[in-house]
Amino acid sequence: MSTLRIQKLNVSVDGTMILKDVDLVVNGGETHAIMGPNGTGKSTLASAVMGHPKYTIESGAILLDDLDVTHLPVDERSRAGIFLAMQNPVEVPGVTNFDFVKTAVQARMSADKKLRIGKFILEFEAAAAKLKMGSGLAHRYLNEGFSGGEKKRNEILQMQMLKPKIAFLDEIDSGLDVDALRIVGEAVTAMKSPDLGMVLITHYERLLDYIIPDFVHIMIKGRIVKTGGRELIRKIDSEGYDWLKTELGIDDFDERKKPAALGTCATKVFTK
Amino acid sequence: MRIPRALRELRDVAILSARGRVNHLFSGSMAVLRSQIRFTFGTKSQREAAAIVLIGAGTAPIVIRFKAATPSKVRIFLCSAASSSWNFAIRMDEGSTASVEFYLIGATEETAFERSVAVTSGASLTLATILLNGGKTTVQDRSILTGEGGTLRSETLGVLAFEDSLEALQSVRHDAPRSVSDLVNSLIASDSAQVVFDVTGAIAKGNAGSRCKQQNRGVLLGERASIEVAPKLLIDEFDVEAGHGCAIGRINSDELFYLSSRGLDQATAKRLIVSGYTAPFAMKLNDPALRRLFEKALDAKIGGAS
Ligand SMILES: Nc1ncnc2c1ncn2[C@@H]1O[C@H](COP(=O)(O)OP(=O)(O)OP(=O)(O)O)[C@@H](O)[C@H]1O
Ligand SMILES: [Mg+2]
Repeated sequence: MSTLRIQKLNVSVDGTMILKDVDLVVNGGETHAIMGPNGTGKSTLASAVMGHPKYTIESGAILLDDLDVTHLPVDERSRAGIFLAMQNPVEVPGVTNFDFVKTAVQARMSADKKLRIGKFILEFEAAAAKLKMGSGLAHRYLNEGFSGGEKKRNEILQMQMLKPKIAFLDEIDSGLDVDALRIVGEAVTAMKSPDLGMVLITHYERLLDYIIPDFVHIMIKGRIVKTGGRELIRKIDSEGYDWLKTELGIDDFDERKKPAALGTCATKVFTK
Repeated sequence: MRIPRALRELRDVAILSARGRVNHLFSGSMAVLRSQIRFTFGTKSQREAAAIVLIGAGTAPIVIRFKAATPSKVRIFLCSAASSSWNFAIRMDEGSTASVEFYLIGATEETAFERSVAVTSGASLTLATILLNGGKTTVQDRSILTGEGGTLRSETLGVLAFEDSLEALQSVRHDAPRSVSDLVNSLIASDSAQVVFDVTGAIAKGNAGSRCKQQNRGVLLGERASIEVAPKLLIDEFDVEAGHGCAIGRINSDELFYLSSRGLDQATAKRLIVSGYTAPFAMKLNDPALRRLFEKALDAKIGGAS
């Protein structure tokens, strides 16, 4: 079991402070959800933990077990066991999805070991089939021309193949239709184990119906302002973030209460 | 330059170097004249591709003729250590079919590569040109589709690193109806390499039903590297299909972040991106020794791509 410790993390982008004194501890086996209005720094947190060069860590630390990863290069963090399923996965033309995942798996094997390709293919295909990805996607260029939902599934596929210790899933639910949400939700839930700690970033209650979080954190203006259990999800879903403003005496946060797109992509569909 | 072992051990091969010429079970015929070297293929059937290996600073102009009796496949390796100059003419007989691959390898200072291609009616030529040499390279590549229904497919891969430069003029002229040309240029520039690629496709009046396509793509791996592609289409006939695409990109920080976030170090990430361009060419080489030769030459260029 691994533990990720984020300690008093302050992060800026192009000179603007985004994250302020963020503390978060994620243990293997735990699932955390981070919710919050648009633009409050949720993706910033995930990217800073992964080490995106655009984000500057002004102070604080990120520790994975005994390893201080605060200033490690991105690839070393990944090989140490940190994973980020991105909100907007990039397209890399010319590189097939399959070759990419294979190279990534090889990158985390010790130099004296060789990838057993047959076993790898079977595992890749099984994971793709479970995510209902369609066999053609393996040999298409990485994310190129993938639909929004296909890209998200592809992120989960990579997570399954790379077996991280700590994974951030940034809005893995956006762009998924109702069925895909269930498929992805089930696939992620099936990965739950003491070997994996997860942080889900989402706007929607719906995802959290499938992947049940142990902790819910609310981030506003770069700070984690409240941590609780599942009851917070319901409250945000029905009341937005306004009540927090009153409760915490924050008076200057934007009037972006409920995410504007709520209901368009992960609406519950009731059939008789 | 010493002859790489992979080439010395080829079975169907003609080797010309300053030390003389050797051929093993060569399925083509060769005539070395004072002013010209002539190769002819397409009369004897081949088991594998025939190879022509040319070592040194260049030769007299080389004329390669393809006859229609049987389809031909030829690989030409140009290996030079210093400056060299090459001149090829490819002549396709009516109805002939051939595939010709050119490999330029060696750390040269200056290379001049000239090629003129004529495709007659019903003939079909597939060209692959792989530039893995170093230094300053100039290419003049002119093709004419002279006969009705002639087809030319030409793929070029240019891999440049360090201070390499490539200046290429490529043109295809359709002088016959229902002729088809399809050009694909893939360019990789690392370090401070400079590429200027000028591509012109022209369909003259009266050549209805012709198709002229060109696609140029490139990737920049160095901050100081540059690729300039100037695609042109000159179309003087109504009933034709013509098009060009051009995509030159720098590996951007988001792309690199994405690949790194899956554990790939910078060199591996760049190599993976580059392999998207080079793998289709490597795949043409089914002989493992040749494949290794290709990969070694590639590695010397962008192995530790930075
Ligand atoms: N280059 C930049 N300069 C200044 N501010 C920036 C820059 N890049 C991003 N930001 C700001 O950082 C803040 C945090 O963005 P982030 O993407 O982390 O938000 P988020 O909580 O993930 O939002 P969403 O729910 O919309 O995904 C935003 O207000 C954004 O405008
Ligand atoms: Mg975000």
